[in-house]
Amino acid sequence: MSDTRPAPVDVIRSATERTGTTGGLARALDKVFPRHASFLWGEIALYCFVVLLASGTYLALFFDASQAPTTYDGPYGPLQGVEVSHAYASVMRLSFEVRAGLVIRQIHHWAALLFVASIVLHMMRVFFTGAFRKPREINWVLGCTLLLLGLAMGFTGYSLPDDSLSGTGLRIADSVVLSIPVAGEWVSSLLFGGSWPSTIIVSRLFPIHVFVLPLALLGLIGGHLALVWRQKHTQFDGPGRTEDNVVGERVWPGFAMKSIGMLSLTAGTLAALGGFAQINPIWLYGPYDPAASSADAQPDWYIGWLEGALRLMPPLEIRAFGYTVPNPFFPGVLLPGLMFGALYGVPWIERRFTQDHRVHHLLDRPRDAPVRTAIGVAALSVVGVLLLAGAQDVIADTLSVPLATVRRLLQIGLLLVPAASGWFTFRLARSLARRDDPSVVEIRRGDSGGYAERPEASSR
Amino acid sequence: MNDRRGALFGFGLSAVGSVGFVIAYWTDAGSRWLGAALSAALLGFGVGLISWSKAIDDGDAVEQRHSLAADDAEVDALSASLSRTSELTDRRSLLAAVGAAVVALGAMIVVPLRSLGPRPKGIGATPWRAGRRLVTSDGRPVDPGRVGADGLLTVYPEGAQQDGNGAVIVVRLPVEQLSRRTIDGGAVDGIVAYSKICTHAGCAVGLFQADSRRPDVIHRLLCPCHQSEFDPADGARPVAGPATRSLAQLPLTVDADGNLVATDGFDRPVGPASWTWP
Amino acid sequence: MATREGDRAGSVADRRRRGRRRFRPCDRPDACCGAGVQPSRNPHQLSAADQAAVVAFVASLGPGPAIPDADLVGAQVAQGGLLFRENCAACHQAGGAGAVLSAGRSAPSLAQTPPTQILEAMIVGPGAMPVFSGLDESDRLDVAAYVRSLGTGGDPGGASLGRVGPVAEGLAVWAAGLAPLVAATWWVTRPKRARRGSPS
Repeated sequence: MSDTRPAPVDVIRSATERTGTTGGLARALDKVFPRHASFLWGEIALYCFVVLLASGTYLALFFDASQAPTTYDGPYGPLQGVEVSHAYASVMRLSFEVRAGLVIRQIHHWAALLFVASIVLHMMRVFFTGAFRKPREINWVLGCTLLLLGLAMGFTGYSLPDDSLSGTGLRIADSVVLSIPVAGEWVSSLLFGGSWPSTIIVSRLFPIHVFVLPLALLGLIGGHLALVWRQKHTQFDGPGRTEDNVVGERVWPGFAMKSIGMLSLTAGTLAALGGFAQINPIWLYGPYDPAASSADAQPDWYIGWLEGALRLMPPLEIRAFGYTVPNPFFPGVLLPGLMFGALYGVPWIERRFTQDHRVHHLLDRPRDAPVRTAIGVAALSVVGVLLLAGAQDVIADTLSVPLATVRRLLQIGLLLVPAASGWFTFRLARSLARRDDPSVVEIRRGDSGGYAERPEASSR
Repeated sequence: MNDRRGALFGFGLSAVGSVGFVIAYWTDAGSRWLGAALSAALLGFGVGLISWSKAIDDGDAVEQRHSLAADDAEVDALSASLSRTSELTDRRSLLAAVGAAVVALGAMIVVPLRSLGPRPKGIGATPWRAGRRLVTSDGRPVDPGRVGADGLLTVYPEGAQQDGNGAVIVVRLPVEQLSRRTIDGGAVDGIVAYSKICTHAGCAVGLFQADSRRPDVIHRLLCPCHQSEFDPADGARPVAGPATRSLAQLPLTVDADGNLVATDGFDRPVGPASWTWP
Repeated sequence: MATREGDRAGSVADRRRRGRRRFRPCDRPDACCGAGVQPSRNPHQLSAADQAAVVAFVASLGPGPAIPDADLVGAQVAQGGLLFRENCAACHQAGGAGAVLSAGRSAPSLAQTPPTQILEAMIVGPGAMPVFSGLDESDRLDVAAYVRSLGTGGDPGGASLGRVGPVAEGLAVWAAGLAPLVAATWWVTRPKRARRGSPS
């Protein structure tokens, strides 16, 4: 390093006399983070959360969680004189009368979509590189919970403006809750207050959205980062990199500047989206009316796979002994339960088959674990097909293909695509791994009858 | 562009963006300008910091990992500390008592959740009764002439228009195309009424596809949420999509004033099913 | 053939103004496109004067509704919005973007539809559209005024993304949000060249 000057000693003294943190702080500043693009994807999620907290606090200052009726008399002409709830009116006021309100509201909504998207991308990286293996199983579980909380955060936020999409989404959520055997009616009644349309649900979701869930997220994110810090980041294999070291950039100043830079880039991207791309135009959807549902009624993308599952489910239900297990139970409760169960169990399921109890700090490349990679791709393709199903009406309309055809293709796809993509991925990963592996050689019988080793393996 | 110049450019852009945001806010220039200025301020700052960081980057540092596992002495010490737990677990009767108390505490804390909602009852009940008139959203009763061939009208129970389960769609189909049970279910001159609340997940089934002209005859009710389809000519039975149950039919007649009126309530609950439904 | 009221002048004018409709013959009506064919908006084949002449001739053949007068002055836009959401949005979508129906048909976008056609469509129910005779004339004018406001109101939040709602928003966040940020992470972590030899 060229001329580094010593930091002022008296300031350090004065600070540490009160906090006693010199050693720890020095170690923290010297900590090394490995360099890889994919190691910053989790940071995108973290910084989306920062943007969500900041923009959400601003929104909360203007939001009114009451569902009592009022008459809209704001500047948006096509709704003047319409009876709406106070919640809806306050979001309209925020969008049309509070200066900079609309752009901040749109940034908040885009940040919510990006938050979950970056969590998913980050989890894909962790999964496909085997970063969930010992000693990081706990952090995998924390991460899965963060994903769940992110979904809950998104859905409760989507439901707050009390517009037509909000209410329709809540109605569907209620029917999924009602479908739960034995307890469904009670849970629905406790959540929604007994009658439909619920007049209390927004005021209940509000504290959950702005207090309970953010607090839980903050706590778990703290734990998630603390474990990363304590266990030190994983790294890919490479020159000088071993299971016993971390090669990369020191926290101060290089990594810290890059990380704060990522915060700025994330927030800047969201600001551009918030300024130039309209999201959730509640003035078009109108206030919620249980007697009116619009076409293209969709949830935000991260709930889209559940919506797709509801749509692809064949018309079946169980009726026995005077009781019913309604249709939405299977795609709406059972399927996500199984999927999240499998997701949480990933480290233990894999260990069950590999019997690998070693500590891993060096990451696999996806090709190094063809079975894991194939299973991951197959599982993602399930979610992908369900996501497409959640948009089947838009797809049918855009491509001018009959709805029934799209639905049938997706139903067949749900059965075939995971198997096909998994098999293809397995073959691809294995052939890539063999190509890289210097110990694999191809032996051919030559023209003269003898056997000879070929320098490059070309087996498929 | 080298990193130093990149940093200068980034911080400059950021300052310009910040000033621009204040101007845009002051002049109420609208969300596009606000978004543009804010993103310039933030993206510029990010580019500046990252470029600067790259400019001073002097290659990789190496840090050794230390095993997270404790050594034997530490394990023994913790084990010794924890072994004091046996002072508690040896007292079986006290242990049972504290367990019971903890369970009771937990149950006690959960009980007030009961205040959240009433006992579930009347799920799927509607205000429709014999003699209740059908009215449109403006409160006007409906004479059959208002529903033309292939016509669609959304109506509500008179006096209870706000009820979330009460919405009904009234459609008119060619009489000869109605099934026997649809006519028996209370059709008036080809006019039939069904609950608008989808039996699958409770959305409003407002989409009526109607064409009685050959060769393209089609009558379909379609739910815009999950694309369940119902046949209004045959008791609104589900014909495609995830719905398993027909939309409930409201039996109709015409009262002395010539308006449509229900001869009875629905013969079953409306909306999405739950555990206690037959 | 079931005769629907209004299957006369109004509906002829309605068809003419949309341009000639191509009815694609369907060999297997049960399989490929259900029971129906989807009319589409095509270039006009007749001049405005010829259209008017055809309309006048057909109208002379028998009774039927006249071409409605699309005078939207005094129409209540907000009332029209309520009726639109109750009656129209299920097919045409809350923003008027149009949407898919069953049996291979779809409800068209209303972005380019002039008020006269909106009014005619409510009276005659073209194609698979039902007839909205339950709405009286002032109701229909309110709806037409609301539809016009959808087209002229603009999108205060920025690009409309086709007004198809969360599906387009979800695509946008991956393509225009996450993709550039992921590209940025490559730039951020790209190793420096020619650093090793620099004096320290």
